[in-house]
Amino acid sequence: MLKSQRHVFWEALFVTFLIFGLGVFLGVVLENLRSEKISDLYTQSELTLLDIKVQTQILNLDDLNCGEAIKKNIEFGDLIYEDVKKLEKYEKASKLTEYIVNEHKRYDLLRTLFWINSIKIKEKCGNEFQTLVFLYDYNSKDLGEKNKQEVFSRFLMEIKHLYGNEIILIPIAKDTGLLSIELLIKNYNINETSIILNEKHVFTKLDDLKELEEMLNQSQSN
Amino acid sequence: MEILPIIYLAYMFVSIYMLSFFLLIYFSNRKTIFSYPKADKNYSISFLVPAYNEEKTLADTIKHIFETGYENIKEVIIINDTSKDNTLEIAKKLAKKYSKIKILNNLKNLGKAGSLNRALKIAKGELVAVVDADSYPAKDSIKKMIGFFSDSKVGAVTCPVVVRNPKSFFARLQAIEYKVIAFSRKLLDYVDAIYVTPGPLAIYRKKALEGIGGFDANNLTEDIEATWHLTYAGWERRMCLDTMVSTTAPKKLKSWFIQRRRWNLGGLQCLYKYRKYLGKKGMLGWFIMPFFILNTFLGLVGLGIFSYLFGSRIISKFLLTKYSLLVGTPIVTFEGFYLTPSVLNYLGIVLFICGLIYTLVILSILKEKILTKENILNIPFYMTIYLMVYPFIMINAIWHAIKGKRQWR
Repeated sequence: MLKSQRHVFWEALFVTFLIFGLGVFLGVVLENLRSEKISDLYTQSELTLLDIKVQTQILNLDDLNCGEAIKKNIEFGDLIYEDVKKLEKYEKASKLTEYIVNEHKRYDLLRTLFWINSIKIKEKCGNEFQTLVFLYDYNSKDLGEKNKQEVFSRFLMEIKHLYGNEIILIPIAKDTGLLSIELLIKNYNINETSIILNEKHVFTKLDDLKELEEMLNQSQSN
Repeated sequence: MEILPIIYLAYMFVSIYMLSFFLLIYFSNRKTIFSYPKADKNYSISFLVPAYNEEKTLADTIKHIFETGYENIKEVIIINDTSKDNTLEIAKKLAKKYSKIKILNNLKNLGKAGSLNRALKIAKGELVAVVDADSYPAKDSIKKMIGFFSDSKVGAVTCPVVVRNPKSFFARLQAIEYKVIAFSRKLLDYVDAIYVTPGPLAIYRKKALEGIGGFDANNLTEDIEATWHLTYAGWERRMCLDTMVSTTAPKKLKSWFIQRRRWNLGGLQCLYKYRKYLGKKGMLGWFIMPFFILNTFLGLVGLGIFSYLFGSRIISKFLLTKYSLLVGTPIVTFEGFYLTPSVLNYLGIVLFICGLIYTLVILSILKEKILTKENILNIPFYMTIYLMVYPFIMINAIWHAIKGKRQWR
């Protein structure tokens, strides 16, 4: 009687494969949905950036409406910043697939383009706004480095809340293997987590952040 | 894919397998789960009651043995294992009251297994019932258990062990645990995978016990060892779910911890002793040993991962606080509380709910009142905190094994 029931070992294995397989499948579907959502946001952002870029090109031809271009640029900065926050939330929850990592890379490229565009606008319209580029490690496993990045990020968020539209915040991962980004940051001789203010000043240490704050204060009072 | 999600998924796979395994057995046998065969003859039984400092409970244990009303009790052998209290005097008084009582007084401490082996030599019954001196067999226990011996392949029969008078919170948690263990053991009965016939009450065919040379005095859990040995020797072990033996559960955390450590150490000793049969020799090598090893491995790896994650989190929080204070940024932010659940979180929740349902189903089948004020708190506590302590005990047991500490009293 007992021996005849041993088929249950195989039946349980079959049931487990079914349930487990279904769970993993649903997990992949969920992560794909999230990835698609990010992809849609990216498409929107890409369009907006193209629009802004075209405006910048127009500025080259004509001396029209610098104010409008700056406004659009700052608005785009805010928009892309919100997108990235959502992307990071999904990234942390992405365990089975790597689609979202590629989305992150696309956003990094988009933000790099945005940075270049901001530089061009500044060249044409003057320093009406300040850019803070936050260069961080996406793949860092070091607890000290990760927490340093977290504090940098919180600091920048505070700055953004404080200065609002006078500041454009551009976080870019510097270790995603994208050549254009590597080429760009090579100019600044940067190896660690850093903030670049207005393409001139580089801040890499936690102690330096007070100096950065002072510089921003000064420029505002000027 | 990172290594941690892979480990999580492996845990989930094993958990789903075990849950499916038990549920499949239950659903295909639910009609016979409480049934027991009728005895083909009136087997004679010798009761063996090893006692060490059991002055408080011995008399009640003996009373319960005789109250089982089994007609063919050959003898009740009380083995006093150098008790330092009045156990021997109480045993003598009981012997005056019950003519079938025999007393063996060890001059030096032999331990439980040694005491049982001494009694086994003089036992005259065809069957031998081992009863701990702090445990009380139910009135119908012997009559219901004995029928399983009609099958000549059966070498041992066990029954559920329940906690006597679980009044305190801690005792109620153990009561839940004992019921889950008992029910799961009955399910394992259907695949010939019972791996222990616990000490509070187990009946053995004397011939089978003698065949394996009695109990192993070098093992801290002679009941697990004997069961493995019987399995190895080809004897079937069966369980009667329709009766019980009540026992005294540890009242304090320390004594509970020591008891569990002893169980774990005994299990490790068994694994070591029978290691060459892993993957061979029927259910012992194919299921019981891998089941033990997997449990131990998963517990230890789980604890390792938990410690790593917990440690990392603490260090991370420390660094974040330190850096935040240096820069003057907020230590806590609203975003820090926002969690986007991953698929692993969802799977974990589903698995927890399944485990909870499994526990509730067991308790309801065993006629436990679930919707009481106490159980609403006890069951979730048992499912989370109580079960989480298991790996810590295992670590401690391994440490003791390495250090060569084997004392258990």
